[in-house]
Amino acid sequence: MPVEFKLPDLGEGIHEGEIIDVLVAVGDTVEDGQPILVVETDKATTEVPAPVTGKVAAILVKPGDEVKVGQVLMTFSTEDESRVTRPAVEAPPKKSAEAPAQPPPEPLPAKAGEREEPVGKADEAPKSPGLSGPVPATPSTRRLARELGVDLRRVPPSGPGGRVTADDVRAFAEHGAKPAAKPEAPPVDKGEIPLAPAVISRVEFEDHARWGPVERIPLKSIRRATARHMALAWSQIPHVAHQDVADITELESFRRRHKAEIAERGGALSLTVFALKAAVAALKDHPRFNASLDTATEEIVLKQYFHIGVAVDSERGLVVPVIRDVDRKSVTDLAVELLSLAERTREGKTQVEDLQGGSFTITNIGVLGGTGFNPIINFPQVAILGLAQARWQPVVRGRHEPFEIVPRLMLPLILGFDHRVVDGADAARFLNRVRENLEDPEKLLLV
Amino acid sequence: MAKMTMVQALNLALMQEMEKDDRVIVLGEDVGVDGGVFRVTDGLIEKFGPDRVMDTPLAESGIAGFSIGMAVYGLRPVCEMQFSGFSYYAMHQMEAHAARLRGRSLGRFHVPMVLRCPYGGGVRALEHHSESREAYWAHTPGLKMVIPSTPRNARALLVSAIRDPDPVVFYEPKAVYRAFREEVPEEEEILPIGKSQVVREGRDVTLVSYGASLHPTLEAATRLKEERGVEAEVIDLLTISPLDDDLFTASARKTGRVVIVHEAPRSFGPGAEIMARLMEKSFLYLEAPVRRVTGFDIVIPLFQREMQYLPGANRIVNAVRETLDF
Repeated sequence: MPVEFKLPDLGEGIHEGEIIDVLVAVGDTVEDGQPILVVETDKATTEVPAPVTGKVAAILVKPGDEVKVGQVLMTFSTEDESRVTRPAVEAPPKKSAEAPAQPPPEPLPAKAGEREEPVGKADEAPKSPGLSGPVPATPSTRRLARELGVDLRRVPPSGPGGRVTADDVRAFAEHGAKPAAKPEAPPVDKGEIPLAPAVISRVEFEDHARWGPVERIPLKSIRRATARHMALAWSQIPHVAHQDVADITELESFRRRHKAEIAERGGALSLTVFALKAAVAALKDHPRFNASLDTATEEIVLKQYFHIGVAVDSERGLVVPVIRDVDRKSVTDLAVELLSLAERTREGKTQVEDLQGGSFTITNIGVLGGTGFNPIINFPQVAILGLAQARWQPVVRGRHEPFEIVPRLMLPLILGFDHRVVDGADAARFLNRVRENLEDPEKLLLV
Repeated sequence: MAKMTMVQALNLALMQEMEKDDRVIVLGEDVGVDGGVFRVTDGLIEKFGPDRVMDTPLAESGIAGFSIGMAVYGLRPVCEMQFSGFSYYAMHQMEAHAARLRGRSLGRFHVPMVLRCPYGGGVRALEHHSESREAYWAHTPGLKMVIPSTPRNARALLVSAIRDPDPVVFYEPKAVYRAFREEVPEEEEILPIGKSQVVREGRDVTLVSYGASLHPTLEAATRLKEERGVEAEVIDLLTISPLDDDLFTASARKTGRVVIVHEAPRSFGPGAEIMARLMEKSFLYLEAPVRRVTGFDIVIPLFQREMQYLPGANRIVNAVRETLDF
């Protein structure tokens, strides 16, 4: 989007001037505040600074031209369009005296063409009234923030009108950075949104008995653990679900051919076994899916082992036992181990260590049905692979007419991923790899 | 105990105080032979005679001035203005003398009198018959301003007002006069002036009201509970001046949200003073701006429109909703 740059009001009642020099050329990249023109008025020669960081798209004046205040002198193309839409909360003014060394926040957004004042010195903080005023919060919230030692300006607001609520303050005190008033340990936080989003810690529960009879069941053991873990995962991870469909016709006939033979060795050759193999191959190619995000150190922790959890529906609820070192095990090994693990899980005989240390998770609900779902990532992992029900479907084949319609067994795949760590393109590549592996059993052999 | 209307309860208070204390004198327009325009003084002249129950000329300033003289002399006059809308003729006497004599005489004289006035709308009355201008009196240093809300507390507060050593302006909500009956004990009962009461406990929002407006406020509190499960705490001020801010500021610290209800006009009304006290004493506990549901800044309309003017339960419920949803 080109930005027009008009001759700013140079002050002292000056309405026009003469261009003495043009300090940049078309195509140059300029920094906000960098001198770009020298203009002489009847009082002085003034360097005019660039209004934005960007590229000079056009220069409409040359030395010797008489120009008037408001006349368009140049246009710029700005590269970083996102700055324009960046929410204001990302760059609150930093007033605290204990961090004088920090650079001032960048000037805000920028309708540069409308800017009427000359741009100040680069080290001057912008005078944006929307940011310099007090943070909206009710008095009681201010008291709470004071009691908890929380700087309201650093709390991401969730209330109406951008108001910081008491819950925001509590969540920030629990999960956010340390209280501001600790000079010996200056906060790393630069007033940005924290990587782990704040959550409302408690919501008032309404009395449903008003509407009719209710029964209350205590949230116990696995149900309770699941609830806590899901709430944690859902609140901390920005989830995205990427979907695809794999043609597993070949894989299914392969599976049927070898099912009995694996059964003899004490295993069950299920689709999940192949999904484990396919996933591990994709994880090797895309290590960021076999990772965790350390929000405290702001590092991605890549895991050099492949311990994959498999969601098991037991009578007691959802349990996710972990199969270690999936990359080092054969299809047969996996089929045997998965069967015994699933049996132990259903009998409630899993040990704590069986459930720990996973680096990725597979959840296959295809036995029960479903064309797709939205899996919740097993926090703090980065991704989860979901398998819905494989169905025979008419598939159009061929690149040109005449097309061929054939019945194929199609398996819906869903990859839930943490968008903080990986992007949609990564997810597409990852899931393509999974799909290709499932579509060609021979490829799986090479994994 | 008998069930009484507020008129009967006030009559009981006068009757008993006149029996107990010969210094208590009742005076006003038609308070004697006629028994008072609302029958509050009914039967007094028969029992205590015309020396203690005096029909006066139609002259409010004279009634108040006469009362001040009797009070300074040592009697306990209880004078009646037929409607508060006519009491402003007595304003000069009350403001310039009743309120000031204690200070002016450095404490040698005091004025133990009561100025009783029916006040307020909702009874389909004529012009000058429906005002709620308690702020005039409450704004006058040296006067006490009392407004009961039910038969029982009206009786108990009138007894206190009669015994008070200083001038008390006693506003009687005429919309409540015969609106309902309440058990009123035969034996003496007094309520201290300058003390408010929690009439309904709650934790979600504090409603502050008094006089006739207390009743739509209580109705709103009941509806809030039924419709939204909201527990509103309702505080009845009972005395406007001196204002007891202990209860409502403490309640605001508990609930964080306050709605004030009165039928007096909004600007510079009692609600404004209540809000100011909340700012001073409960500021850091507020979750939402304090709201007022009041009469409008106009002369109260005649009967066809007066119900639109008076704060009703709907307006109160809406204000509470806005406060809770802030």
